[in-house]
Amino acid sequence: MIINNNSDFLFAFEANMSNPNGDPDQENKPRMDYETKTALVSDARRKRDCRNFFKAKGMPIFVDTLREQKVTMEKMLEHYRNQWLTDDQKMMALFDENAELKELWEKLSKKSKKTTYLDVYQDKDFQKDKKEFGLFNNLFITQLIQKELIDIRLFGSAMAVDNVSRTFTGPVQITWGYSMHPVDLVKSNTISSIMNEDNSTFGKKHKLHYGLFMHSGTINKLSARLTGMTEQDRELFRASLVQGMLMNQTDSKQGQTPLFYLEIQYTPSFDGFLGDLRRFLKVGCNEQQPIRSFSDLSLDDSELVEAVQYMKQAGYIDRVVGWFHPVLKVSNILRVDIDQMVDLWAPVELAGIDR
Amino acid sequence: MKILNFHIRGKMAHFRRYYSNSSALSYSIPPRTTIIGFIAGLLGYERDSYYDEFAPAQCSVAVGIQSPQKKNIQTVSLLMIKSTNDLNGSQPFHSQTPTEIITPVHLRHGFLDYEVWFHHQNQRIMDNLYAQLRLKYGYLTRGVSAALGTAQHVGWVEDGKVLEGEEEGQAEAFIHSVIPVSNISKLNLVNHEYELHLQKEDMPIHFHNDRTIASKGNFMINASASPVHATVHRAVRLSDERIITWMEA
Repeated sequence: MIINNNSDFLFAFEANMSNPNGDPDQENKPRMDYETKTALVSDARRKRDCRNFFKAKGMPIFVDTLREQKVTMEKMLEHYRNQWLTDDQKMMALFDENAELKELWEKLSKKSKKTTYLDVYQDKDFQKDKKEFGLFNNLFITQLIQKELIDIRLFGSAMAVDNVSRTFTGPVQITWGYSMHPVDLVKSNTISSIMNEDNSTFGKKHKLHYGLFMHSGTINKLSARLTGMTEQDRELFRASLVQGMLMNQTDSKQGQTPLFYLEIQYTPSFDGFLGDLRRFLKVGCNEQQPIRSFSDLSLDDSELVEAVQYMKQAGYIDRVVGWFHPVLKVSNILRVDIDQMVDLWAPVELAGIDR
Repeated sequence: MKILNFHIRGKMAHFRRYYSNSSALSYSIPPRTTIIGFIAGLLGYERDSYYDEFAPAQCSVAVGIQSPQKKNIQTVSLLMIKSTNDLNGSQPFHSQTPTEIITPVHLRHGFLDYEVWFHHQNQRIMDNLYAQLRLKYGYLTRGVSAALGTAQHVGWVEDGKVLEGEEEGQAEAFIHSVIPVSNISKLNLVNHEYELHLQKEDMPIHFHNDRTIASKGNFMINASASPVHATVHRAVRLSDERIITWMEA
């Protein structure tokens, strides 16, 4: 089912002796606003974790290789097109859902004497009327992409079918994250070395001592209608934020731990958003002391409590969904009422996800 | 005339300069084209569908910086796109693109704050927009979510209200919005009461239907977020006693 309500969400994680997002222009040092000692993480970093997670679970994604090979978009689309055209059941289901597509197919296929979907599609007679065929192709491929590729349904993309480019704004938008307090770079840079037989290379690794990071984001029901984002996609997205990060145990990313995820789900009739939720949170610390763990910080969400209460009383909020790290006791610190707890550590089934 | 007054706020912004290619530079403020796109987005217009209805002859826009801000350059690794066939990342390398990001002077404690004044000849558009902006918390939208320049810079809208405005000829006063350079007859900067950090930016004012530039202009911006004392050829006096100038060529 396509999602029918808007949400604002907040994702918090900590980075312990870690480099959450390297700056390629500065020897891969953590991205920083040096004036305020605030570390930064791009939205693209988060989406990459999500995509890697989907891929690891066997789900096809758009920004990807095909059988380990980099292929052009045309080749990739052809692959999915042929996959569908050789699966009669998929094609029938697609036509059942999409009357316009079915009508165009019937009209164009009358001119062909071939029998299988693939043969008909590849028949010159089927493709003869360039305008009608172009229309069919555009609709068909847009549908396929939406059905096959979860990253497009969530994050949108620019696409081009038959050189007609279209931009789908992703229903899920994630802001750049930042550390909610001043951070310190580890003074001594670990030296990494790559040893070969006759030479070796030395490099530096830059890490942060500790950072509590937050990203805010929105899920837009109207954009979801255009990309076909479903309720199940929403659940997969939440899991990918948490598990995608946990899965990424590289040298620079080890030490990253998702702490909590809050999602304010509005009622289907409410057409709005609160916007960036981080403005409602106050993180306190003693700036004279080094900040080395979550216990060196205080977190006050009373402004969020107030905003959520107001929105609930006005009937705009359906429910607040929450996940907290099950071992680290972060749930005691937030006071906002959670209506539905979800388990984002729960294993996500491998591939063949039935949509 | 009726003028809608509201604030677009957020933690980060990027208002892409139309002429940047290998680097992504940002204007210091949302240009008129960005603001009409923002408004059209809230009203549910499709991308690129609203240029005629929001042409300078139909509607006027003014904007002012209300919170001190700065720029931060981050090099982001984007997909290398040489043709539409590369949109899925098929090129072997990524493109390292230096990107200017606008943040509040204090990213953690502050937020960006652009005050917008908007007048449209079509009262229905004014009413519809006002209806989207009069919540105590947050905002309503019939289309995309509020964002500052690019979709991932999620922001919010606040303090929507209706003001009366009266257009005036020559005015000597503190101007609370950015000022088109062509509209300035004199800057009165000696012993200026507020902090000044003046800069001039050449920005688009309107697009043709194919998103090419229909008109642009030079604007004087005070990045330190305070009014500038100037003598201008045309101004608008608001019912809250402040004076602004429209973004026009």
